[in-house]
Amino acid sequence: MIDIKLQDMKTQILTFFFVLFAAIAGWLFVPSGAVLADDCGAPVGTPEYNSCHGSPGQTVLCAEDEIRTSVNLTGSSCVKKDTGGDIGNNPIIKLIATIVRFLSVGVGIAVTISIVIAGIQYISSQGNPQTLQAAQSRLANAIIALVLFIFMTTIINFLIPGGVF
Amino acid sequence: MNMLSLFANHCKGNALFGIPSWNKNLSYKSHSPGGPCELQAFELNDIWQIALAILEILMRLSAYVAVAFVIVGGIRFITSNGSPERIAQARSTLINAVIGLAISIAAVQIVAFIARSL
Repeated sequence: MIDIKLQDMKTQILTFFFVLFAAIAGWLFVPSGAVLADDCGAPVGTPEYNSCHGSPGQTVLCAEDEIRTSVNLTGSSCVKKDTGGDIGNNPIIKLIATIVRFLSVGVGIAVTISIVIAGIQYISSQGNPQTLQAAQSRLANAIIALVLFIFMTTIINFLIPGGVF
Repeated sequence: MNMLSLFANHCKGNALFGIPSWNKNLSYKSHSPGGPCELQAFELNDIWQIALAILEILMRLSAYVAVAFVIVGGIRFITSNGSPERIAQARSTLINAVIGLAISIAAVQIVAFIARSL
């Protein structure tokens, strides 16, 4: 009986996370489509819509500072070219910046705590070589973790044109 | 600073032997001196405030442990009876206590130095 109840709980938790994940995925993917469909302000099939988007299968000519999107079922449309100037307003870049700013505080504190624990291990080693070795490897690993995190932020900064931070 | 946070001095716990409580960096409010405590807005970044308090606890603890092991090393020196191995062990106890204390005190500076120079 207890096993069955536990199994039910597991299923419920899994379902909850699945629904949560689906909701997040929907939130990520739906708005872009909705914006693309509505940016003409005309109902589908009317001449205004076709002059804005081009009829299905056709392509539209775009202005100098615009770029044509790939042909989809309702025809292609023109969007402003990305000049790279407002990359800080990109939601993905903002999310990355927020996460890295949150983590960099935590990594600094965690590495400091680890070094202090290594110091306490060093103090209480009493000349015992094994404890001494453990303390030294903890110290080295803490510093390696810090260096790797700094390299990670540097690589992200290098990959994103203009930089995040 | 408003009166509500002035009343909240008792909310952060007392320091025992100079070791602070884990919630010393969180902001509380209380409507009367000694009255019930309310946690002001708790944000995600406040878990790092708790981690900072834990770091401070550990640093103070390392100082106490270092003092204790310096005393242990001294007692080992006294009771070595001139035996060379026991003298060597007592000396390494003392030296390791001092080195470990130096590492603990320098931890913040080590992290800041690496983060600044890379």
